[in-house]
Amino acid sequence: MTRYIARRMLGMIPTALVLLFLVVLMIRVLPGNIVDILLSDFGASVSNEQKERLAEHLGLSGSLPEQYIRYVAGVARGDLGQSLWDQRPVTTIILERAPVTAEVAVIAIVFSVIIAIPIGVISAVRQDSPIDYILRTVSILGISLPSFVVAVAIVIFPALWWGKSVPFTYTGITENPIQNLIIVGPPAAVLGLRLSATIARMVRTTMLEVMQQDYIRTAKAKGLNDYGVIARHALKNALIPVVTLLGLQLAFLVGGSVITESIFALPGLGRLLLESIASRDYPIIQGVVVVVGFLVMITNLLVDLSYAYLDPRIRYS
Amino acid sequence: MATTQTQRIPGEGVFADEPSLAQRVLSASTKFVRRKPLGAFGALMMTVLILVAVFANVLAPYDPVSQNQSVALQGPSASHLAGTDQFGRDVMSRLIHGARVSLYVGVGATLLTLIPATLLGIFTAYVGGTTDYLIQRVVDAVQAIPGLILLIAIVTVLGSNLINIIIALSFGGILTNSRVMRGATMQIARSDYVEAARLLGAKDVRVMLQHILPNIMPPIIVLASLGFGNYILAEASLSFLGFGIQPPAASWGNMLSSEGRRYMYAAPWLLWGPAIALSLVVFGMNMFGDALRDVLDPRLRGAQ
Repeated sequence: MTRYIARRMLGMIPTALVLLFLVVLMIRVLPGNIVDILLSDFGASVSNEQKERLAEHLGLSGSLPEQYIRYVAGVARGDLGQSLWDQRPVTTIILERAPVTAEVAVIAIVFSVIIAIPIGVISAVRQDSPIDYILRTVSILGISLPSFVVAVAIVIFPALWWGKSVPFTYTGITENPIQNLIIVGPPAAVLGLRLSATIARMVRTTMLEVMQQDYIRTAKAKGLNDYGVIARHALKNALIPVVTLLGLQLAFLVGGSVITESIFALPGLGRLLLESIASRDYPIIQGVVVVVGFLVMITNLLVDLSYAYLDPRIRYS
Repeated sequence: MATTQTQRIPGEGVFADEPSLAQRVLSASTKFVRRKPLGAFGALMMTVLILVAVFANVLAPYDPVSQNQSVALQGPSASHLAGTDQFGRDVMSRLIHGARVSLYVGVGATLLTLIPATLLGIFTAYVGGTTDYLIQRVVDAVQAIPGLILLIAIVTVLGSNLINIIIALSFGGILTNSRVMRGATMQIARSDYVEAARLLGAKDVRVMLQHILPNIMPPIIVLASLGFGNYILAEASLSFLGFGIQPPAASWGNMLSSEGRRYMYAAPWLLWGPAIALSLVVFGMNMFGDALRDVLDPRLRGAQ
């Protein structure tokens, strides 16, 4: 097992290097001379020396391989460069924003799992009954409704009907946990709704597969009641692919945060990305992509490792 | 099938009463509608989208971008079926022209994704070794970046217009889908008939195109139908955030964007049209893709 983990972690290095290369390349292939564009506001008063300094700050001095090596060395030290405008380290800025996104993601996952597992199980156990049909249609509707449509509806309809709107001023969880939950709840619900639809479909499919297995027939033949069969034998095995799915959905949750944070005005990573694009703060844009990318890679690894615990038949050598 | 031969050959009678192509398509479609009503609904949605987009100029009662302040923010009425927006533009006409953007994006990105993705998938599965290893690491790296963030990054670099949005959508799609094709190819490549073809001296390219490609068509078709809806949704999200189709041009996403949202309290009909259109099309495509997968994937056949 330890050897397997070590091998998998070593295997992540090439992928990480490719990711960093894409991120460095991104700044290089921006159309036009990025330094000139950034300094265009200052007109003719910019000296060549200032231009060089900005280029250096952006990591643009030297050849592409040199830039790349410098960036990789920085990342290895935990240094993602400095923000162009307020000169603070990108790592600090990201660490400030990440908890908000993480909180929304965690609530969304909890919310979705609580809804999705019963729906998926009922749908599978009552396969092809009217209730299965209704639940499946609702799930697919949940997947089809774009997050931003649901989010806009959540903002607009309470205002139209009751003259009340979701609060837009962010309160930290340590300042006022209840107020914080009221603010974080709606965006988490938007993401969780979609996630629950995806998970419910997966639970249904895997449950159907598992229910056809011999050991389920054995359990039934032993005289175990339906509840015992479903809870003790079927569900446990059906949840293995669901764990994979949850891991893969991390990318969706972070991507979706761009939309929900922009609508609900939450100061998380998604909004940081949008703000940085608007202000052309390239080191931050690069930093967010790197951090999110690494996070997804690590999650994928954890998902693979969790298999060994969930499914005793899988042994790593 | 040799139905044109005049001389009867043994076993030919089996095919003698074979229905014509039109009949077969008809009976297959009837069966599809009966067995997969929601899938058929999806196919209908797609047909409607295509028709509306193609005939947008004829169907739209007004110019989608012409402003008329005297009718700004009017609710749905006989002359403006879906009402008007803050510039007095006809919302229905904008919806109809928005369908055109969605169709372009859906078709463009699907084609631009699937053909290279298929070729890349077959190629990587076939060559294996270091080339495959390196390409798979690029796929891993790109997959680690959430779709929307990748899109925003690419569009920021390329600039936002319809063509660039399609290119940005395809970039991620090619790499992600190539992995599915690679998996399918590896499965097929181990089968006896591919081995037989190779033993008979068939060249690599011939094996790839004549023996492998036809056998991985089912996943290709399923990915195409699911991709179509996803690309439309992605463009809408991008335009919603202001990185996609730029106003005054109409896209279902930018009709819901922040600028329009300010007026939605006073004029909620601005929300209805694009939200319903987008949800119906994406829902339809998901149902259609699901139904196709059930029908085309032999492992799921009969599982319902």
